[in-house]
Amino acid sequence: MTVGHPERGEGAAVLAKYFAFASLGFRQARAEPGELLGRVVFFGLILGVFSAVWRAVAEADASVQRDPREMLWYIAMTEWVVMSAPTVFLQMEEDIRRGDVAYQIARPASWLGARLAHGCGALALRAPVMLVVACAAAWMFAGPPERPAGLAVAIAFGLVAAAVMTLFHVAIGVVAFWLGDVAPAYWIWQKLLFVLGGLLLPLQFYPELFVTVARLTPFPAFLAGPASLATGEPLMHAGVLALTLAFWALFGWAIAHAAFDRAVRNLQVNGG
Amino acid sequence: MSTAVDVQELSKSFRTRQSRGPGLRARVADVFAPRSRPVLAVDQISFRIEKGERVAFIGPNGAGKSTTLKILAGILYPDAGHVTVAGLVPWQDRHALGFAVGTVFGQRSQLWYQLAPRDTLELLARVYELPRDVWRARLDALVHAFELESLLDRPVRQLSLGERMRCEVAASLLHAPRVLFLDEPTIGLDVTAKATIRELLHKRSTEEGTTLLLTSHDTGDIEQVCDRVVIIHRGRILLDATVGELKRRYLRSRRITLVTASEHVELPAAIGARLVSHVPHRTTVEIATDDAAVGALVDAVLRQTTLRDLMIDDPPMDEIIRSIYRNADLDEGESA
Repeated sequence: MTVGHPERGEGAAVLAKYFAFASLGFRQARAEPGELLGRVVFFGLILGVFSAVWRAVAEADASVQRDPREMLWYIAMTEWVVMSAPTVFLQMEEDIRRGDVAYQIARPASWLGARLAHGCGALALRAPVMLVVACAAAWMFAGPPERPAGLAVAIAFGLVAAAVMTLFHVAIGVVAFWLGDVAPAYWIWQKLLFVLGGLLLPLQFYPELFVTVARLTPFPAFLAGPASLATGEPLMHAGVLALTLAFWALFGWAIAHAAFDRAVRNLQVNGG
Repeated sequence: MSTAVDVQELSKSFRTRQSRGPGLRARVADVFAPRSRPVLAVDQISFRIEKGERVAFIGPNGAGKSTTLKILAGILYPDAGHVTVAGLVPWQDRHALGFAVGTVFGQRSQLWYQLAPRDTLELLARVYELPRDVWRARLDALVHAFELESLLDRPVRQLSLGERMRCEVAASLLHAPRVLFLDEPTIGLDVTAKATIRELLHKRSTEEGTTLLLTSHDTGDIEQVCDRVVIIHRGRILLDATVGELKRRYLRSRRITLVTASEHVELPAAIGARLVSHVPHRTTVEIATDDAAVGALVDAVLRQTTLRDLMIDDPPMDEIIRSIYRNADLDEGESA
């Protein structure tokens, strides 16, 4: 007896498959309101702190050429991207550690694709909630955005950037096949993201050589690129940013796939 | 009958890290130049399973049964050998194989822990590309057969292990796989839950012609679900026989319980009966399977007292299997 669809692997069926993973990710994120609430509180808090810091810097040092309001909106955008991208590598690490990956691999669906879609589902819930918090907190602490049109473009690119970051998180998750624990890989990734991505300061504040090096990495396209579109001094043109994000998305996916194929060839499923 | 699983000369080894021993220098060397040695998990095994057969694949811990199962399910790559499952080479046609086989790993879960089983079942319907009407009919049938009505909408974390396993097995059968691989499906369950799972597996396999390949340490799974047993030990197949054949070939003794009028009975040494247990009026002995021995025992008891009742049992399957492992170890020891 076979009950499967007669035309397996067709585009619509494949899309429906990954949409189902995304939908499950959305529902799972909704089923864990505590986690989201924690992020909301933390996010509001750090925006409050940075608003105070930037006001103090502006009052103390006239040489700082940036408007504190613009700076807070910039940080609100970069932090929004960081806090929206789900940490899918933690679930992947758990899958590998517990051996549940055996189930996932035996199914007619890509495990990486499933994890990415699941992460994007969580992102679909988290990003709007965190965006509301980002905008409300920035408005409350600094006033309305100076360039609403720029902010709208920044939000659109921020969403794409968070999705591409989720893809890189999938690639980090694959590391668990070798290390068992993704914490060291994520720790390095996060520090590079914060520094080279321009989390707290627009990259224009850094030395030229540093900016040149940073541009060779995906990090500016994730944070400074989208967030600076909301300011008067974008890091790169929106078209260039779109191409850069597309390039890094392809690159990240290729890396994740190559690593996964290699890992599966040498797989030793934990737990016998 | 057509072949569902064909395994020829299958081998698989793993590499395990080997420490240089204690001491800082050895530890540092272990980090920068790790040493490993190959461990042969499966050693040139061959067997064939016909469509609709229910086969128990058993062996002690580390025998290679789970490794074999994972190769057959397309999870692990073998080092050598030829395998087809439902006509597909598992590690080459993993995607297509996914539609043809189902897996149940007793110590793993495919259900999303925070969500209700219905969510996982809906997801699996998409994963297996089932048309909506087909999946609804299939879900209804499984919900009815596995009595899942009250479980479907409760978060998995609130289910008991037995309830969860019923959902796990139902989830694995949702796409009506031609072959179902089960790795210790009843581990950790209580006797009632075990009996339920065994009955459900047997029934679904009979009704749908699903081929079952099951690994277990629980001989109840073998006796109540399977028709055939393949025993693997140290990566090699020791025995491949039907359950009935296994008993006939390895059953060398029977257990006889005598309920007598007198409190004690004397067992003449010539009969060769071994005392297993004794309480007043009730004596259990183990004796050779030939009819003459049983007759001699009964005669001897009747000469002493009145026999009120007599029960003859086969020794537990556990003992038969343990003796097969023991003999294999002895043979290996001798040949070494």
